[in-house]
Amino acid sequence: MSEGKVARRYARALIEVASEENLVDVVESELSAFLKLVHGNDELKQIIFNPVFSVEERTAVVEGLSKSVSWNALTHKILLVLVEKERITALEAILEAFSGEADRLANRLRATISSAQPLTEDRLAQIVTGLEKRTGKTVLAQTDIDESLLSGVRAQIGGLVFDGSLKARLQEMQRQLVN
Amino acid sequence: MLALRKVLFGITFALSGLSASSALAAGGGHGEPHVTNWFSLPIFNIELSESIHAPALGWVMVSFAVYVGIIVFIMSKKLPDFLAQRSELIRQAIDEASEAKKEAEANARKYEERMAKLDEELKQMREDFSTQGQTEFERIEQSAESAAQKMQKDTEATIDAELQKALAQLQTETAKLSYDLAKEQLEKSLNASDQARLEETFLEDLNRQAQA
Repeated sequence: MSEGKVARRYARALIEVASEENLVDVVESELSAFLKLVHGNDELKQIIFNPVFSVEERTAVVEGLSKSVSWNALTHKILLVLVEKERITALEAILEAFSGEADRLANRLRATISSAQPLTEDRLAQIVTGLEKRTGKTVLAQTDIDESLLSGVRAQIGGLVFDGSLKARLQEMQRQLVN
Repeated sequence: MLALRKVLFGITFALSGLSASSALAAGGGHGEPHVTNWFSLPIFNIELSESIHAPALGWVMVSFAVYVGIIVFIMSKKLPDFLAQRSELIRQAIDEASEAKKEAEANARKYEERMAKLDEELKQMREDFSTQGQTEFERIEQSAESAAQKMQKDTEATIDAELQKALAQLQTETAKLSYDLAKEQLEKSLNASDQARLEETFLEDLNRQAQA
């Protein structure tokens, strides 16, 4: 079975349990934090993802981390299951599928808001509100600095793009000149 | 057939008689002719020298008659067929020659007639050639005209296409240059208020779209 299918199956099972216990956001943030932690430490990354290490060794590491960070029981359990079933390498894909499903259930969207200069918090909030009004869904924003935009703002939600950058205006002008 | 055989026998006997007469004449020399040797052969009782001067004329005549008889016998069987065939061949040759003559005469008449009409035929041929030449000339002229029109049309289309292509390239180049120039100018002159203004515009657009 491909990693994508495996990830979707695990994500569906996890979202069902997390929804029942109202722990979707908690599990998502804890798994995300776990991944960030593992990717931030090469030694830990080797132990968790390298098949040279045994299931017992990995389980011991996950148990140790769980005690020190005090994760939710569901997060702890899913991590142990993934280690035991040798599916821990699919954690990133599982988290992505889990987040997508969680967003769908919560009726929310994830937006990447790019600007040439950093946005103020007020402005970011205004933009998020504008996007929520436009899409009719809750928007989770992730900001990004892109100097190629020259000036202005660009928001992308999946395949939907709202481009208010100077670069877009210049490109439109160029298109009109050609046509 | 029988008549022929009789004739041949007659000729044979006449020749035999002639031979005998000759032999008698050859045997004389002193007065009346006489035969000195009729049937005596050297192997019997006549001296060798005498037999040379007086051959056995009787045997000569007998052998000649036998010879002539054999020839007559053979020829009487073969000759009529041979002559009949020969006659048939000659008749056929005559018939063929006659046919050829008739044909030659007919051809001669035909050619004479054609010779008589030659001027008219030549005139007709000249007219035909002239008509054909004119038709061919017109066809070639029309074909050339059509080809020239097509070439002109194709050339015009090519020129038009090239012109459009060049124009499009020029527009693209102009647009790119304009873009680069505007970008360069804007990069120099952009400030915080421009960013704020664009943010405002972005929000206005979003709200307008939300209301629509």
